[in-house]
Amino acid sequence: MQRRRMGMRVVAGGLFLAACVAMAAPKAKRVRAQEPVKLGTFSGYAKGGLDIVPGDKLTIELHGGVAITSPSSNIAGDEMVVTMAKKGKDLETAAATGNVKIVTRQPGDRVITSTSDKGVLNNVEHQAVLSGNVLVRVDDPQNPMVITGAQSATIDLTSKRISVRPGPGGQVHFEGTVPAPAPKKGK
Amino acid sequence: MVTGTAKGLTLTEADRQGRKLYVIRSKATAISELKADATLSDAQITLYEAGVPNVVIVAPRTRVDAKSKDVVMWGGLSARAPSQGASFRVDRLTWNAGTKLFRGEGHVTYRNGPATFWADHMTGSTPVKKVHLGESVRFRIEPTRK
Repeated sequence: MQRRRMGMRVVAGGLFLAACVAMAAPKAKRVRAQEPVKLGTFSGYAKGGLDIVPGDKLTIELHGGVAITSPSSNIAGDEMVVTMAKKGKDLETAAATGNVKIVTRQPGDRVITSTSDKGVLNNVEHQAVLSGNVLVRVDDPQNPMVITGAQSATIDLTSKRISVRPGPGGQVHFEGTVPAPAPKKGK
Repeated sequence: MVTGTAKGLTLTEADRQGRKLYVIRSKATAISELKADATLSDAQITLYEAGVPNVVIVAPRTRVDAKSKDVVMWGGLSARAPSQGASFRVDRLTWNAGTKLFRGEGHVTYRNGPATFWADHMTGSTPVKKVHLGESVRFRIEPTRK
């Protein structure tokens, strides 16, 4: 297998430049939202209690050290707001603030662990959006990597794509292994 | 002074506009005018909002204090708020007909749609716009069966 071992620093210019780190194998098909992730049953706790606000969308405000866990994802933080679709429907979003940690498990023993000031697990768009002091660690047998210094990051839960927006200094630090480009046909 | 027992009693309290605040139906009731209270067995309590049923509670034991307007239910009770799609179980619940505040204590299980919560106590007011569960709460959200 062709791979390159890389330890590199990505310097991205421009505040609005999104550095996209596509870590899928070059030939891998990207799975889109037509095949939603089966997040399964969520369980969790709120040490400081919670408030339930019924309405068109059921809202749950969790306080004092909170976490929710599903077979494929965990999200924890100091506070969290969970919204659910109209009664009888599924969890839509879980937005955590303060010491946020999100762990997502993907096929192939791939685990993405992130910490940030804020984090939103979106079960509708199948992505996790992080902001503030973002650190993303990818534990992948083939392509492990660590991303730090980003202003925000978006983890696509249906593919292996992580999009990173640089911090105020325009820098993102990246260390890890990326797959080598696939050789072109006929060469 | 009235003191005695009754079977199949219905207690109703209404506001100044004549709209029902609550209706309590019980199989057996002990009334004490001296204490200004009534103790009921196997009661069904319906709490109203603007004359419309809001919460229905089934309680093994209930005491209604006419002075404080406290309705205390205990013995393990169940309740449902159909308009909210919610239901709950709790060991003991106190609701005040004046303040409309309620507090439940002991083995709270609260369900709303696919979400189930377990807590030590619950507080809120009627009509139910927000329910607080404390302190250390566990919960589970089941996926919708398609």
